Amino acid sequence: MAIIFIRTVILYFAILISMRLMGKRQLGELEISEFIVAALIADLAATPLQDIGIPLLNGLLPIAIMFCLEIIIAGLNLKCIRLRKFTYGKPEIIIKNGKIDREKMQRNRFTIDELMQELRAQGQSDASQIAYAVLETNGQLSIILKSDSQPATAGQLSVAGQDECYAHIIINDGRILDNNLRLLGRDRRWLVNELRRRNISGAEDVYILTLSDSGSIFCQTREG
Amino acid sequence: MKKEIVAGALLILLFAGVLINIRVTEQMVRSLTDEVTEAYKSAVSGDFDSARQQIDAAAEHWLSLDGYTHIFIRHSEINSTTEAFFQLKTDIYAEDAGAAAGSYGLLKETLNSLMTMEQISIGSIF
Repeated sequence: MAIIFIRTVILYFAILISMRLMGKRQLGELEISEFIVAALIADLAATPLQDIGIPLLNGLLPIAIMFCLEIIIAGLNLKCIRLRKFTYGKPEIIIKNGKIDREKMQRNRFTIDELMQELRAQGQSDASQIAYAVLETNGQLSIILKSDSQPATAGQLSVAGQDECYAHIIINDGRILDNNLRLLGRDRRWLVNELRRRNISGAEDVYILTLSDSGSIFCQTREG
Repeated sequence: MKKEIVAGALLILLFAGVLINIRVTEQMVRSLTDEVTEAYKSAVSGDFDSARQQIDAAAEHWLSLDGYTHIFIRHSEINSTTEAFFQLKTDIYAEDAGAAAGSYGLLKETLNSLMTMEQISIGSIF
């Protein structure tokens, strides 16, 4: 049992480090080659975990080899378009000017039901309103609506819009994030004054406090 | 590009390590086979005292390689080899040259399989 415990810890960190170094993609956004690596790594790790008669190295060595291959292939894909097409495939236009391309649907093993499901997931149900629907290499469908179906922008309506501002977290569950304070040109003295104004004795009583670029503050104490 | 170079270097290093492991396994198997063959020859010639000493030394040598074998060889293969060693040892101690011939053949094949499993060949790959 102790062997299994130690092996699990070693393999967990081996997989965590290799997956982390391979990139920051979400599981649902994996390309084909990345999916193969992820699936194989999980299986390879499981074998020496289940059978302590198999040397741990039999699981670690293939993980290390696949990690190296994935890094090399991902690097070469950045340089070589042909290789990128071979390993990741290329995006396919499934709908063009409201017309579904049946041949491409069949080539990508994409059914009408799946297409409609993807459209509904993006708030669309009428294919005729779509200028382009592109099946991306990671299996996701990107939709560009026809100009007459697109929502009007503030610019088109000649309405003055508000500048986008980003809210930075200053206090996270009682912990002051000094880096974010400095980024916004504030210091702890300013923060203490802001807390006093809200009758809060200290940062440890704050659950979350955010400060936007425009200076607006959102604050919630631990009591709510 | 630095990341890819490091990965490539690591891949080459791992492959070199694998090749070194093949050499180490070959040397280990050859040296053990030689020791076992010496013991068997002594038993066949009727010199069971020498045969006992030689098979004891060979078995000791095999057991002393524990640190290497448990990391690189499947434990089921290690157990089979140890069993084959003790079978030959039992036959030599019983001074039964006929039975020792069979045990010697089994041990030699078991040791050989440790080597052939590691060697790069179409058969071992597929």
